[in-house]
Amino acid sequence: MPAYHVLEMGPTTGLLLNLGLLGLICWSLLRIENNISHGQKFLILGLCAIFGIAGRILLSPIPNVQPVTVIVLLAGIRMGAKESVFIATIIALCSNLVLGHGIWTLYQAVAWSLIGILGAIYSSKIDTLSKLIYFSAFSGLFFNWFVSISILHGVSFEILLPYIISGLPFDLLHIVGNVTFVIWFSTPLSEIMSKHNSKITLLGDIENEPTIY
Amino acid sequence: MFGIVEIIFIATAFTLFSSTLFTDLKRKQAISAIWLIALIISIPLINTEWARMTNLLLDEEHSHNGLPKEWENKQVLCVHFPEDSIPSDFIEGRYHFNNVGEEVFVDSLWNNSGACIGGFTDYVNGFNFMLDATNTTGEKLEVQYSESNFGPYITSIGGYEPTGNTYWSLYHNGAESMVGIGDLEIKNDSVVVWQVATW
Repeated sequence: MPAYHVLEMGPTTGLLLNLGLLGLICWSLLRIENNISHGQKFLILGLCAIFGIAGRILLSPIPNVQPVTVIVLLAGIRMGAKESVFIATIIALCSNLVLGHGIWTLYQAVAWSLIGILGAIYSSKIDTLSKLIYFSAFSGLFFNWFVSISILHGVSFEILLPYIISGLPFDLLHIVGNVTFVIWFSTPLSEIMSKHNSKITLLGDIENEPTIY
Repeated sequence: MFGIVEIIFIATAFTLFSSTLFTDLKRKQAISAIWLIALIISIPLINTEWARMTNLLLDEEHSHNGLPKEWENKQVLCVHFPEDSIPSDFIEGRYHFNNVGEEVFVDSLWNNSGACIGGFTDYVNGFNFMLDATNTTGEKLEVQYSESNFGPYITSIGGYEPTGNTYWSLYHNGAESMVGIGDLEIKNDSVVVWQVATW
């Protein structure tokens, strides 16, 4: 049978297709969320995880540009530490089932979890868009360097610094990607997370904190 | 297509334009998107330049200019192919192999395409060094030669055999060698280069 549906795609076409799919997922998730009554925290956790997994897989042609760091950071700030750890671990595991699973999955899950926990700890201080931008930029750098430690399972410690230095252009890409995601998506994501969350953070209970950015 | 400078220039122009067009959050959104796209487009160039800066010795005064930093004060053999006869193994630029034949770096911005094998020490005779160095890459840089009264004459390297008025020319530390490879005495910081020249 002729394979009519098999179409050779260039990298740009493939990326545009992925962006289209991601847009479709974003739109449908927002529509679904509109129909969910307030306080459905587990549903929102699931939707955020799905958005993170889809975003990471579909944006994988662009190295280090993905929405996961921003999602777990916002989850930490708006929902709490353990919620962000859950989202971080699920996203790392599920997306790596497609992108490649290995010892680095653990480092990625831990790095994103730590970003979420830090977000929860400093949630009261990250109260403006500018502060969130700085924090997300720092998170990008922190994530990349933390995950780089995983190479020590295969190479000696002396290789680590040159490895980190050689990856600086990709650190820059992660930072700019995070800043862009924060500017574009922090407001709607924060609103959704706050709306459905009776927040319990490491700092204590904060009932439905209003969105500031 | 575009260099880094052109991309920065275009992104700056778009930034100024969007700054006049939008305000507040929309301005931030536009500017962040512009610079993210600019960075994505330019990242291959940035990465290549950064990799060269961090891995290679970039000093035109130095005999090891353009070679990996860890090869400084070590013996290196390079083979540069003519532009119209680059073997498929070396099509992306100048490939660098260590002394056990492992690829360590590919320089896509170097003027010549070919291969360098380096990190050797203690060789004295140029011909012995050349045969041992090229052997580490398997058959990619197979050397064929004929014996003459002046010592070995290199007829083919990596499957390329010069024809007509062209020949494999030998350079030692940047200067054309006055002796053949059989008589060339090398030191621990020697860079031996073969490239095709015209009579």
